Amino acid sequence: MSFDSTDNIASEDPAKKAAYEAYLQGFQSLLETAPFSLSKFAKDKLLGAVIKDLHEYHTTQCLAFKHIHQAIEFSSNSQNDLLLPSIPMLAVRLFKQHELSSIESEAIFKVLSSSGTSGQTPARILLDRDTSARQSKVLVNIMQTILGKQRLPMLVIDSESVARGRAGFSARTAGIQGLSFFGRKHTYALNEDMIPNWQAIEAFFAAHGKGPVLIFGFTFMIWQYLIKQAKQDKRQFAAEKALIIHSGGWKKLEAEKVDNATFKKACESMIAGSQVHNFYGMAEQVGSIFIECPLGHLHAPNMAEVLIRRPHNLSLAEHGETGIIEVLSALPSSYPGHAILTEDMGRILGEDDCPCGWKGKYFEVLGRIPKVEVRGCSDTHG
Amino acid sequence: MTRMDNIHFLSPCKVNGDFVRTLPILPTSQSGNAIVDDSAHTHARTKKSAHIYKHSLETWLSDFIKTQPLPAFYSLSFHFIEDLSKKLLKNPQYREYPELIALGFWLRKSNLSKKIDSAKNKREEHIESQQALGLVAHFTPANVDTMFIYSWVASLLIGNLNIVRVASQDSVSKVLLLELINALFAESRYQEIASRNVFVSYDKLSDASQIICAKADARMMWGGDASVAQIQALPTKSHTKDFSFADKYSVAIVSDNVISHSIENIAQRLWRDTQAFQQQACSSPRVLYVIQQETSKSELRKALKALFAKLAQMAKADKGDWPDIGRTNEHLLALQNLAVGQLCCPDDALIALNLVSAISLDTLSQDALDRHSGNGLFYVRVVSSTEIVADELATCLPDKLQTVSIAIEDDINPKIADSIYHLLGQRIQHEQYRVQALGEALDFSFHWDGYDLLRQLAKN
Repeated sequence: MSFDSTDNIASEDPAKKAAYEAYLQGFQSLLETAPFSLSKFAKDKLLGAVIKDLHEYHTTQCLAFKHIHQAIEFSSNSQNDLLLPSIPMLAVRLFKQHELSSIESEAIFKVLSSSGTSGQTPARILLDRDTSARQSKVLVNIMQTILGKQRLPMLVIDSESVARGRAGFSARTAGIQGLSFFGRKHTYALNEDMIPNWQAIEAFFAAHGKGPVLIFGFTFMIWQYLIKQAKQDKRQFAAEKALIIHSGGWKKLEAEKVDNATFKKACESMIAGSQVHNFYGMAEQVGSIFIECPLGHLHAPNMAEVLIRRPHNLSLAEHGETGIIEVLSALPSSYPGHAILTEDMGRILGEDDCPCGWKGKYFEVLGRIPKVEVRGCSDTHG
Repeated sequence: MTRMDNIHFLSPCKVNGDFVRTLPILPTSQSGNAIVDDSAHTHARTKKSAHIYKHSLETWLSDFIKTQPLPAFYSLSFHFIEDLSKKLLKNPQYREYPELIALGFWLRKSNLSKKIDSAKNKREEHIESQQALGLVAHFTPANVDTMFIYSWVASLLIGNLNIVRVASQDSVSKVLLLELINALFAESRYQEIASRNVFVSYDKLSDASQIICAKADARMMWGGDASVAQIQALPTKSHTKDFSFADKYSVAIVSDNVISHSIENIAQRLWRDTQAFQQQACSSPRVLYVIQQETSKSELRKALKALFAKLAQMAKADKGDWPDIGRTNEHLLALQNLAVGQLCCPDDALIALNLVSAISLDTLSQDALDRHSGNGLFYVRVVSSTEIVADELATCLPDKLQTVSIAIEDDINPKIADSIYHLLGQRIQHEQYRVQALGEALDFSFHWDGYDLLRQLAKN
């Protein structure tokens, strides 16, 4: 797939075209690096330049984005010499309230709707072909670090209709489709009613268990519909190596006191040969994911950065300090989602020095921001 | 049919000749929110009475309204209020809740008689000879959760029978207040009051409101426009008086030299009007008008930044939930929303982003006000004259204007206050707004939103 296409850019405006080309050039050089290879200053220079280009590009392409940055200058960011922390960010919920677009409507290739918390309008993320292709490419690079280049037999912990997006292109569908690329002989572990299809799962391990297999699902789905059921039905399986990749957050599992370690242990006792990798990523930044290294630390790849901000004034926190997670991504050119303040809490565990050998920051996610009461007069009669 | 088990009596109440003391609200849970303990509640029910189940709210209500109202300004009512005030001010457990302390001060004998006197002054007749209306149903707001007490006190003073429906969301201060009232109700000397005043809570989908409205002689409806409309739609007797306290907004006005000269003082008074109820009370200022006459643009910006830095410090030091982790993120979202909607100044609108945030607007608009949900956000309007303030308030939702609080510094600029007062009088047709000193925006008076409560809660 080609990444130098400028078809969707209003070609009559040379300034815009130049801005886009500048961005693409920087992105290409990032793409040539191994996914977890850049250390602090090299990364800030390379990724910082790409994201700054994106910022400037979106300022010319997305009027709403331009208005925001004219009105709101962040002074709290200018406290250090690094480029990445100085790039203005958007509140993630803004994507639920506005359709922020940097492309003409003819260029829309896919609309991704993020899973909103119940009662909320889901965000609509507009993708053009270029952004979508970039997401796939970067995801491949990052995943290959863990999965290798071979496509592995793949067990999807979901139903086929969700995987195929029959009920709409949700974040769950997007995740499964994105990851499905890494597998072959896809088997869907759950029936339409979310009951495990033990027969299909048995057959999958019987056929492929002698080699490495790939298992993918959302954290909660795996726990609720596979592990718990397997325990109850006393089912166990084995593979030479079972790479279990999961994501989606721990919120629902917190209530059951299930943390990462418990989850890993449960996977191992259900499937011998398990090697579990959680990843953290936003529907607003598909592709540039943060994945666990073999030591269980979430890492920022060269294509993305993670920053922690102090909750009361959003200034940059020190390593080790708990705060709100900001994520930056070199990928989105169709919507201004390159710098987003999430509503998750986390802290940086270290930078460039994880014993696994990967460079860059590694961190942990510590749940959601506690909700403040935002009820206005209109909901008073509670 | 609504049965008694749909209703939680939050105060002791007479059902079938017996006092039922169900206290479903218990002290705070870990999250800081009060919880309804179902086990205790069920226990009280099973122990007390199978017969409560059998009786509908209607039966209870028809008994309740047979109770003789108390005389207006009855001495026992004053004793009760004085006692309530003393307990609020004396007991250290209320100290962390500024809204309870403010209530304690407001209910003090001296202040209460001042408020009653000022209500009296405005008319000729003797309010002491007034007669109670009968049953007054209070539908209270969830966002300003101790506000219900003020309008209840007005009705109590007139001698009415009161049913106060308290919103189901619990806050610590509300629970503490109800517990205190219950403790007083349990004292035999206040039996006459306890048997005429009932605090209840029930699901808003329940048909209890309908049953209560059918018997009410007056309805006090607090809350947003939609909530008020919902209650108002319920049928009543033909003579029932309605008091609606719907969505309103309030503003504060300061002059540039007041900010520059007494920043600490302005910050403290602004904070007093903002802190209680998370800036969600209708009388808490959401807009800060700054009259720029002497200071340069850059000096004023510096002074404003310093002012909001002070407010942020006060918020950080707050012992309640102001330092909450998500607040600044909410402000960021609100600010970016305003910018997308082009509702703030196009350039450099952000003055402060912290636990208290401020953004400057080009003009005050309904859209901007609609997007404001309290929580420590200020819309700042820098203007060159009081005329502009009055023009803007007279054109942007004038009917929703409630409190205009002014920083009056005698030695600095008394003219501003005078000027505002007169200009608003000329340009705003209704008399439901009021002008207060900055720092006293939340001070309740018996004239509220255009109602003269002490007169209108009595028979004409």
